[in-house]
Amino acid sequence: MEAIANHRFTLESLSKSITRRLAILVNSCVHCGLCSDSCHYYLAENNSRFIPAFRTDRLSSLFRRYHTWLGRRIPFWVGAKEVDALTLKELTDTIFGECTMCGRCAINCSIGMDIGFLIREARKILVELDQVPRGLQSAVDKAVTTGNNMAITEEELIGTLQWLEEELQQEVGDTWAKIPLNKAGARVLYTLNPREPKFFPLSIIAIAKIFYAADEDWTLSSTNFDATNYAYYSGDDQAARTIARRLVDEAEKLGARILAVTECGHAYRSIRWEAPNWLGKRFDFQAKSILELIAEYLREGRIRLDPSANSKPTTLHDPCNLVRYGGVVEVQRYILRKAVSNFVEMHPNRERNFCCGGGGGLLSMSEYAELRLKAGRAKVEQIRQAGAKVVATPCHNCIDQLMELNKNYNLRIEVKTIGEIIADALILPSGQINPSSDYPSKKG
Amino acid sequence: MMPLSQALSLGAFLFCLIALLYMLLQVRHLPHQRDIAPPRGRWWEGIVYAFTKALLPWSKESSARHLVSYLAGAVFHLSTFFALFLFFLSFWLKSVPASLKAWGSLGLWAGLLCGFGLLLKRIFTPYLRSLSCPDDYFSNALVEAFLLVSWLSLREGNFPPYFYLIAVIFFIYLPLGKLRHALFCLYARAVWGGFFGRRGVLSLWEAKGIEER
Ligand code: SF4
Ligand code: SF4
Repeated sequence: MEAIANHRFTLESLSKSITRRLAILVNSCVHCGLCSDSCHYYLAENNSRFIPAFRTDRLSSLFRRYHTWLGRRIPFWVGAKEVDALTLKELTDTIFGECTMCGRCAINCSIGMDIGFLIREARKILVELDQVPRGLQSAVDKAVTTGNNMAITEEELIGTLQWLEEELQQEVGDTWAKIPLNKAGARVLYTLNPREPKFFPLSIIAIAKIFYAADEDWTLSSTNFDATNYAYYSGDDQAARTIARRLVDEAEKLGARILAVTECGHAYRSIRWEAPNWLGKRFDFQAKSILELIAEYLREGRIRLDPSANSKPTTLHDPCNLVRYGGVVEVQRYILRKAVSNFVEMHPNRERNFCCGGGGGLLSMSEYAELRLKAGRAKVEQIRQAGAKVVATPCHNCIDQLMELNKNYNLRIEVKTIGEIIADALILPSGQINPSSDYPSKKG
Repeated sequence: MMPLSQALSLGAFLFCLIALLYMLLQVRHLPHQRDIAPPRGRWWEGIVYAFTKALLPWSKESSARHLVSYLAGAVFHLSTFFALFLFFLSFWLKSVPASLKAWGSLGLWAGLLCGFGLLLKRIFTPYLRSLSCPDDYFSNALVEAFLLVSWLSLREGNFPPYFYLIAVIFFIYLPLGKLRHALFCLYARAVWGGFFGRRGVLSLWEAKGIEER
């Protein structure tokens, strides 16, 4: 009882910090239900609890209870609920476990409800109520305390990069090829998803090779290299700010003109779009997706590709935070058309794409793994219909989910980052086409 | 002297206007985080998109898939706007012209049928029923009552007291329940368009560029 009273108190005090956008949205949903089948959870489960509007109603019902005239007087009439009428567990499951904040319903809502935004607002409340699922919270805590979400030490990273540098030199046949570290004044500071040095180091080589071929002046940071920001997913703005500030400080310290984000949807969104709001300023450098840089190299003729090196039918999965919420829509297509000889679109695509089911921090919350894989069914159908043998996606989270879907649904596909596909087709300055096209780590 | 029912309806309309304005001011006073990051697209293009292209039935998967419901919703709303127009006109009209009678009745009947269809859908479709609260049913029924008395008035050729009495309930309830979306949905749509337009996701033209604008 005391806990509920505390929760109610927290909710009431939080309600003082309601923003304009939130207030507009909680007053707007007309319960038309048209958004239902735009959600991959609803398509997979066909259960009304998975209708997007049903999820946001969990938040709106609280708002109505405390902030509307009818809600205060006749709550049942307007579907207003008190915090003790909802079990907190149920709320946590709905907000964290049953939505990837992919925003597909936002594009399809008849009014214009940004449900991804509403879900994150609800997550902010659950942060205050100490309800963030353990796996997600632990990723945030690690990032805050160690500087990256996998607690990789500086020595470990340097060791891995030295080994990768040797590999790179062998592959390009040039002992001067480098993976520069902490280079002050470099034009580009490249950032990683910690999963790369830990599990997929060859994707770092792929990008290093592209930088080498483009003769880019670039560097990695040995301490602040993590581009991800799981606090964006957990709804913890304070932690998100701390994590983002590190990257920004590092780019400013090194004097980089471009902070290039590895292939990771939420990392791009966090630093490109959200971090300026969290930190209250525009940055002196440009935050770009690595894809935008690669497209630049192609346009300027700094790198050349031989698409015949990638002849298997290849399709593209659009990561929600990069595409629908990030606006990076066409560069990946421009690149792939130059890098593979048989590119096929999935349908629907671009901002209408289906989420793979791995976003929203879901991959770090093992308690929802079964549902996450079921919810990936819409993506599985899209891949099957595209008939591709290779699925390219510029996001490490999506890669993980697609690899699991590959295994669970027996798709028999290869899942690759775009960097890897390009590295395979890259014509090196020596005129040689990259010989090492075999990345065993990405075969599901 | 204005009849009592008319005076009451004007009072209710004024209440509605003031309540909506109050809500609008309340919302405007709430803290608002402007996006600081440099834009990729144009916010205004997104807003124009939101109020034009996005409304086309085939522009969204949801409306294309639920075409009948979407069109029914559109007719129901247009018909309600027409009934509101009639309400204001009624203060000037001595008698209803024949052309308005014919076309107006048609429009109101179309709205009534569509609204009733949507009400039935809400009652009989399990997933919609689970989303709905009494306010959803009442709001629909109230708008339909307003359409019905508007049609009856057109048929009779004048606007009887019951037309104004229903208008009183309509205007008083509008800011209290779900019907206030009349105000908020316009706002939400503009915010939606501005947000996705600024990020370069919504574009009025088919082909999006590969460079930042
Ligand atoms: S944001 Fe994505 S996962 Fe969440 S309700 Fe909408 S469509 Fe479903
Ligand atoms: S489509 Fe939009 S307005 Fe309709 S129920 Fe879904 S969220 Fe609400």
